[in-house]
Amino acid sequence: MNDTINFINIEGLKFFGKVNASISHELKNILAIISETSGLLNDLTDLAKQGKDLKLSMFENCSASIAEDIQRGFTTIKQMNRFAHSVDIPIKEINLFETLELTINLSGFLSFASKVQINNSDQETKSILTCPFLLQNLIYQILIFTYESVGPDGDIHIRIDSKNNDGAHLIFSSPAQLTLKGFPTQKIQKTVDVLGVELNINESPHELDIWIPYVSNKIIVLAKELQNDSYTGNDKQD
Amino acid sequence: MEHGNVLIVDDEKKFADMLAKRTELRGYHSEVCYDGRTALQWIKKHVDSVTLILLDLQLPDMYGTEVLTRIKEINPAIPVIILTGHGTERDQQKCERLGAYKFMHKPLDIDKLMTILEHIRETPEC
Repeated sequence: MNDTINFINIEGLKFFGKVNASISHELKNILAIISETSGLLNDLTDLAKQGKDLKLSMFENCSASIAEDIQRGFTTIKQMNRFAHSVDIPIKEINLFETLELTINLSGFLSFASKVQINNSDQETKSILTCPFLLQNLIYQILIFTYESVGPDGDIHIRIDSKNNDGAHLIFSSPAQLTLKGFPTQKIQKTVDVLGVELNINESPHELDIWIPYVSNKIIVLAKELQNDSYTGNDKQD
Repeated sequence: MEHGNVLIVDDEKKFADMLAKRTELRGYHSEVCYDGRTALQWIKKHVDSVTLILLDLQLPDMYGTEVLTRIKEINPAIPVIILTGHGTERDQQKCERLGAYKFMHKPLDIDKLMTILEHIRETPEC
C-alpha cells in the first residue's frame, strides 16, 4: 500500500469516527429532548388528574415538540446514511453544492460550530471527478478551522464560483474576518495535495479559496492507484 | 414557596427549557444559560442564592470542565451536577477531581434529581 492510500485510509478512518461520534451525540440529544418533553407531558397529565385547570395548548405544545424532534432525528439519520455511502465508490463524479451542503450539516453537529450560510444558488455546477469522501474530509477540516477562527457566535459565508470552464472555486469568508494563523495545517495541505486541488488566501477581500478542477491529473492517478491496490481489489470482488 | 434556585447550563436549548419547566413544576425556580460565559456571569451575580447547578460538558464556547473550575473559584460550596450525553469514565474522574457533586447521564431521571436536591437542601454544607 503506498503512502497516499495509507494517508487516505488512516485519515479517512479518523474522519469517519469523528463524524460518527458527533452524530451519536446529536441523536442522544434528540432522544434526551424527547424524553424530557414526554416527562413534562406526564407531569401535566398528573396535574390534570389532580384537578388542576391546565390549558390544552400546553399539551399541544409538548406533542408538537416531540413531532419536531422526531423529524430532526430522521433528518440526522438521512445525513448519516448519505455520509456512510460516500465511501462506496472511491472516485466518482459529484455535485459540489450537494457535497458542501452535506458537509456543512455534518459539521453543524459539533458543539462549537458557527452559523454557515451558502451565499449563492449556483447549485448546478458541472460535475467534479474526485474522491468524495476525501473532499468531504477537506471541507470539514476547513470548516472546523473557520469555526475556531470566528467562534460559535460568528458567521461563515461560503460561495461556489463555477464561471471558469476548468473547475470551481469554493470560497470561505466571514464578516468578522477569518484569522488564518497556522493555516493550512499539515493534514489539510496533504489532503489538498492528494485531491489535486489548490488553496489560496485572498487578501482583499479576506477569503479562503479552494480551487477544485473538474478533473485533475492527480485524481486520475489516484483512481489508478486505488484500482491497483490489492485491498480495494479484493473488496470489489466480494 | 420556592424550594431553591437551579441553574441549568446546556447548549441544547429545548432540553434545558424542558428540564427547567419540570423543575419549576416541582417547586424550584429555574434559570437557563446556553453557554459557559453567560452562566459564569449569572453565577457571579447570584452566588449566594443558587441551590444547584446542572452543567453540560460540551458547550459552544468553553469546556464544561473549565466552567466547573471557574464555578469552584467563585464559590467552592456550590453543588454542581455534570449532565452529559456521552461522558466517559475519565471525564467523570476529572469532574470529581474538580469538585463535581455528581455525574449524571442524559436522559435525566427527574426523580433522582429531586432526591439529590432534597438532600442538598437538608444538608447545606454539601
